[in-house]
Order: sequence, then structure tokens, then C-alpha cells
Amino acid sequence: MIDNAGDFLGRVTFVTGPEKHCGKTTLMNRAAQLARRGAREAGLAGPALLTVGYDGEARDFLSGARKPAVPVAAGDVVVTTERFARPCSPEILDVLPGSCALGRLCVARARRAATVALVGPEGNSLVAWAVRRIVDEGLTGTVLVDGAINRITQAASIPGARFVYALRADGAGLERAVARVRRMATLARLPVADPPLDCAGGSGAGLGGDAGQYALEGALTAETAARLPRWASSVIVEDFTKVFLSDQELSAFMRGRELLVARRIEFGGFVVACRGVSDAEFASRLADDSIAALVSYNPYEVAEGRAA
Amino acid sequence: MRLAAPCAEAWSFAQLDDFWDRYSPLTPWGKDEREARVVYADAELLEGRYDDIEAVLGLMREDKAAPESLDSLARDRVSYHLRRMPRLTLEPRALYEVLELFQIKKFIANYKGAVSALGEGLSAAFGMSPLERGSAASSLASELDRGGSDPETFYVADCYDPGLADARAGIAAADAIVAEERVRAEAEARLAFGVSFDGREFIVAPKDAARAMLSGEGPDGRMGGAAGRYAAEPYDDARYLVRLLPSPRAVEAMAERERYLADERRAEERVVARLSALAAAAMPALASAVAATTRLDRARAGAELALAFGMSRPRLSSCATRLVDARFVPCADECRGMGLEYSPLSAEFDSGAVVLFGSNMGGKTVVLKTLLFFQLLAQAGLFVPARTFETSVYDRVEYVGELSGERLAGLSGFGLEVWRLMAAGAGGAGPGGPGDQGDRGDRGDRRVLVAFDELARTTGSHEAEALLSAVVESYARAYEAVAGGAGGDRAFFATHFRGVARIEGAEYRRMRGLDRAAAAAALERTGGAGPVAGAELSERLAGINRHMRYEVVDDDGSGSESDALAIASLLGLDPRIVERARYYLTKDGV
Repeated sequence: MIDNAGDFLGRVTFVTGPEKHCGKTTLMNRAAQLARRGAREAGLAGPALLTVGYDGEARDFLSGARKPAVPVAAGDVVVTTERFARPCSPEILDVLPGSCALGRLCVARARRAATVALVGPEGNSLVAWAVRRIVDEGLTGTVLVDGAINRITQAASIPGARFVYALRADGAGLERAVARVRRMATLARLPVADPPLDCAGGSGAGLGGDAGQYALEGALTAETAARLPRWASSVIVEDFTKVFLSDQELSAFMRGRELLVARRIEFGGFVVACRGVSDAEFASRLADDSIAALVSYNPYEVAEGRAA
Repeated sequence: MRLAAPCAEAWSFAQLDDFWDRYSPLTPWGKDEREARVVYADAELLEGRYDDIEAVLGLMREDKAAPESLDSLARDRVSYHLRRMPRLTLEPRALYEVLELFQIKKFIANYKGAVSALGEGLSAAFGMSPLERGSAASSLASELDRGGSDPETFYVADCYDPGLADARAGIAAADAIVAEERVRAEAEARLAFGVSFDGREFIVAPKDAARAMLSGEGPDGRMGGAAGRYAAEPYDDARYLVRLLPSPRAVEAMAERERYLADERRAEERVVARLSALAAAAMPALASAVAATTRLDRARAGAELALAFGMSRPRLSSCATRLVDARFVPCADECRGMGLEYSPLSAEFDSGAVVLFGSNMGGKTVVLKTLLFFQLLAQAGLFVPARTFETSVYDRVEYVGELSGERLAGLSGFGLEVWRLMAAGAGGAGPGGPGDQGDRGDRGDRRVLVAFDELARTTGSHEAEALLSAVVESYARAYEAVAGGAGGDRAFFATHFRGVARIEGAEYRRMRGLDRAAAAAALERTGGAGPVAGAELSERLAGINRHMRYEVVDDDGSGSESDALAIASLLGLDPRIVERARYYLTKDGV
């Protein structure tokens, strides 16, 4: 799943995770490296690298390195401020509307290898704007976005876009990590309403033609779930990022009602970095082969049977 | 340039935003103007805007005989370049950022493209002249063209400064050494310890393997590599995180690289300073180019809209307000969505006070909306969706009536109405009463077009009619007192109240209303009056729509019966209630 360039070439991939310090940036760096290598072999343009906002995270979970440092090669496209892009001798390709606290953001092509700091737009719509500009202008078809899970909704409407979910598992947090994986697997596999609906438009009401279907505008939380009409046997949310129920709440909800999404966001799988527990222990605790098939482990780990 | 006073309520009442989204300028400045929703009160400026739209319309008609006509390809090219123009700073400054130089370059590239697509004559008509050879703007463009792999990208290229090439060559050489040393170190790790870094910044390795790497002892017990080439730290109790340390040669190269980076930075600063001086000198020309581009963009967007909706040029020199086949597009859209027929409006109004009677659902509010829609669109500098629209320019366009969500602390519904009545005519002749006739007060020659929808609807009918009569009288007299009406205010009153006084100088009109005979016949055919199920309601609405005559006709004051009961019946109100209502209507002699 994150073992070869083919997983990333020619598509938009959001590297997401449940929290800070879960290894998103380091995972993106590895993905970029693989994609870069694959692109070179296939005669394609190098990857574009973006992040959402500037999280101020001091150290990455996997590497322990100060963040955010992203190695780029000549030909890569980056979105950041001009000042932060300077180490790679950038060629400016576009300027994003508005500016962030650290200055105006640009789309730039690296003219030499260097390590740069990425700063991204804060708003979902600007992330989508930047991704679309990169893809539509033909700068590259391979885009990697380092960003929180709640940032992907708009940009994920780009055809072929998908997300991977990075998380850490340690001894104390093993149960929580397993629950998160189960929950996310459930959400990523939610069926799409047929026909697809625009929840933002025809919201919060019963749907004329289909008895029992209810399109919910906004978030599905424990509170909004409690206010749903009793007759709503099927509840449709815009996409899975609108579901804010814990693993247990979600299970309980889905025992009573069918949960559907108006739009599916393609899922690439989990990348779990185990620390203090082994990969095998994690898989054993997961105890679900269909989900286990979606899990790959720390791409920086040297172990038998692990792809380089 | 004279702007009309803010008219947000009129804009909202006229549902202009439903239409405004279709007006699509492509440049940042055109979009800014659209977002600002500016209403102008300067007839000369508006005529200029109309001239521009007409000029572009002429080009769009693809008259092959006309040497300056634009074929669709050229139009697409113009749109392409306008769409790609970036916002850019137009202030003269000592130093511009690299991003600002990029934006200037991208603007110039697209400006040139648009000028080329328009052709020399047409671009000159909009003031989009090519950059003059030898001018500051032309020199800047030539210089910026030297940096970047295409006309729309920019970097501080080696050719700008001899020091840059040297510094970058030094950096490249250092990078090559670092990369070479890294390859060598990775190969050594693979050979000696069977560990592949594969370009990774670090690896997580089993504790034993990491210990061996730290000590330099290979798996077979022999010394496999130089100790001190790896840094390690605990990852967990079974694994270490291992990094390759740079070789002494790589460290030397990295130090050299730092020196070259500083040289590069200094050289880049020199280049940016030189380009900034050129940009500052070119700013006046760039500002002119932006202004001309905005003018073209605005005209192009207005012409596209005019073509899409069959719009015509407003005539602004008329004392009367005259509309022929005027389509209130938001209403036409709604009707189409509901499968109903829309009737365009044709009417002419000459006085300072126009009272419009009409039954429920008879369309009098839509007439008010139509009037404001057309007036605002015309004063926004756009053509209008009518065969003819004649009017004059007003300094304010007002609406007084119900607005959704409206609240004002401490005021009842009637209090709010009076407050809004005063606000609409603040300083003006109208609401001040007959004593103000002809007195334009402290507003100078500022003119107002105002639409009152059901004024005094929140109080008893007797007093409401009295108040309405006084306001109508005020506007009618004031209009006549101002140079025989030329340049006076104009007020429209949509009302149910038939008892409004007949004031000399005011116009009294009514909506033609329901064709009752045809409606009754249709009702019989569809099963008669009475309660309806939800599914039937749309049919009944369509029936009313079919038999409602949305026309403005003169009202001589003789008619007294409204269509309210007939419409209630058509909508399916219990026939017994309708009958009793008719009884009371007759009994009271109304």
C-alpha cells in the first residue's frame, strides 16, 4: 500500500492521521521518495508536495526530527512561502490568493535538491484550489498532501484522489489505536447513497421518493444522532469526515440504522507505526482479516519481509 | 464618478443576487467590481459602460465583413488571457518581492496575449495599447522574460548576475559530493550489515543490528565498516532508530555549500533590487494597462450576459419609466422551475407617484421587483433583459416594505414601517408630507426612485389609507413642483387598500387580475373547489397562473372587488367558508 511508486503516481493522495505527532510528514517524505523514483523511471514529472496550515509540531513521531522538514528534488513542485522555498532555488509557477501568517503562498518548482519547510493554506477551499491548479495546469499528476483528516473534504472531490491514514500504536495506546483503525475502516467502507445526494442542498429532511431515508446536513454527532427522526432508517451524510461518533457510538448507531455517504472518498489504507509493541501484536489485537489487509506498517523499519 | 447611495434593501428585494452570479468578469479587478455591487449615479459613466458593451457585442457577432470582428477562437483567446491575469501590486516601491515580480511578469504575458488576440484596432479602442518599444514597461518585460522556463513563470536566473552562476555552480558541486558520499555510505551499510537505507533519512532497526552498526562489527564477527558512521537512539525496548552520519568529506562539502548559499543570496538580492527599480518605473504604465484590461473585462462580461439573455441597452434620458417586454429573470426562472408561464412586463409610468392595485397573487409585488431590478441593473452599468427600458438616473434606489428577518429593537411592526418610511425619504420631499412639496431640503438635487410594498400594512385599514394617501400626495406634488417632473423623485406604491385618495398628478394602475370566467370554467373541469391534497396544489397554482392576467392597466377607481375570494376558492378553501365570505362582503356593501 505504501511500498511502491505505483501507489502514488498520477493521483492525489492525502496523508492524514488522527492527531499531531502521528508521523504524517515522515510518511509523506517516504511516499514522495518512492513516487519521485517511479516518476523518473516512467518519464513523468516529479511529485507535488503540500501541507495544510503550519502546525508548529516540534518533532515528528517516527523520526524524532524537528518538523516540518521536507526533502525535495529538482523538478518537484511545492506549495509554501517563497522564503521557505528558497533553499531549492524555486521557479515560481503561481501565487495562491490571500496570504497566511507566514506570508503569501506560492506554487513553485524546485530547481535543485534541498530541504524545505512546507507551509500550506489554512482553508479547505484553498487547499483544493492549489491541488486543482497543480493538476489542471499539468504541473504534475502526482500530488501528496500532508493534512488532518478534517481537511480533505473539498479537495477529495478531485477525481482519483484518495487518502491514507497514518497512526501510531504503542503499548499504552494499543487499544485506542485498534479502535481507531476499526472505526476508520468502517467509515471508509460506508456505502454510497443511490442515487448520490447533495446533503448540503437538500438537507435535514426526509427524502421524497425513498421512505426512511434522511439526508443530514452537517456533522453526525451523538447530539445530532439523538435528534434524528425515528422513522429515519437510513441516514445519509455528505462524506465520512462528517461523522464524529466514537467507535462504540458508531457501532451502536449502525446497529439501529443504515449509514450512507453522499460521496465516497477513496481510501488507500492504514500505515501503522508500532512502538513498544510488535506489528504482529497489533494485527492480532485487530483480529479482522479484512481490515488487516488494509494495514501496512512503518515504512522506515528494517525487518525481514518488509519492503525497502 | 458619482455613486448611488447604498441600496442593499432594494437590491435584496429585487432578487438581483439571483441574477448577479451570471455576470462573470474574469480578471481579479473585474471580480472585485462584481463583488462590490456598485450602483452608479453618473449618466455619462453609465453611457460609457453601455458603449463598451455595445462595442464588444459588435465584435462577438462575428460579422465576417467587419474587419475588426472577433471569431470564436480569438474570443476564447481573449478570455483565456483575462482569466489568467493575476492580481498585482500597482504601488511604486523601492523593493518588490520575488512573488510580486512573478505576478507582474504573468500579467504582462497575458496582457500581451490579450492585445494580440484583440488585434491592434480593437485593443486600442479599449485603451489596451501594446507596450511601447523602449518604454519602462517594455524594458521590464524583456528583463523578466530572462527568468523562467516559460512566459508565465519566474525565477532569479543565473543570467541576471555573474555571481549567481558561480554560487550555484559551487552549490551543485557540494551537493554532488554529499550525494556521492551518501551513496557510498548506504552501499557500505548494505555490504557490511545487510541493512538498506534506500534513501531513507533514518531506519528503525532491531537492537542487535543497530548495536553492530555502532560498533562496526559485521554479522560474522569481523569488522564490517568504520565505527562512528552511524548515530543511534532507542526507538523502543527492541529497536533503535539509526541515522547515517555524513563523512568528513561530506561535512566539508556542506560547509562549502553554506558559503555559496550566502553568495547566492547576496547576488539574488542585487537582481531583485535591479528588477524592482525597473518595475517601479513601469508602474504608471502597468496601472494604465490594468485599468484598460478591467474595462475590457467588464464589457466582455456585460456583453456575454447581454447575449445570453437577449438584453438591450437602457435609455437613461427619459422622464418616464417605460418597459417593453421586460423579463424579471429571477421570477421567470422560478416560473420555469414550477412549470408556470411567465408574462413579461410592458408598462409606462409618468408621474411622481404611481399607485398599483391588485389582487392577491396578481403580480403587483413582482411589478415592483421588476422595476427595481431593471433600475439597479441599468445603474450597475449593464444592459437589461427587455425590448425597451427607458428611465433616468437616480441617486438612490429604495425599497420600503417587508424584509425577511427584519427587526428593530423597541419598535412594533408599525413603528418599524414608519421608521423605514422616514429613512427612505430622509431629507427628501416625499414622506415629509405635503408641507415639503418641492422642497428638496438638504439633499440638493439628489433624486430617489422608491418602491413601497403594502405601506401601512401593519395598521387598521382606515388609518392606513389616510397615511398612504398623504404619502402619495407628497410624492405627486413634489414631482410636479420640480421643473414639471423632469428630474423629480418617483415612488411606486403596491397596495390592497382601495380607499386611497385620488390625488391629482398621481397615477392609479391595477393588475388586470384573474380572468374569473375562464378560471371558474377550468375549476369545474378539474373537480371544483374544496380542500386539496398536496399533490393537487401545484395543479391549482398552475391554474391560477394560467388565468391570471399579469398586465398593468389603468385604474379608474370604479372597481371594488378584489380576486381574493376567487383565488381562495381556486386554492381549495372550503366552499362554505368562501360562500359566507361573499355573504359578508355583500352585506357590508363593499
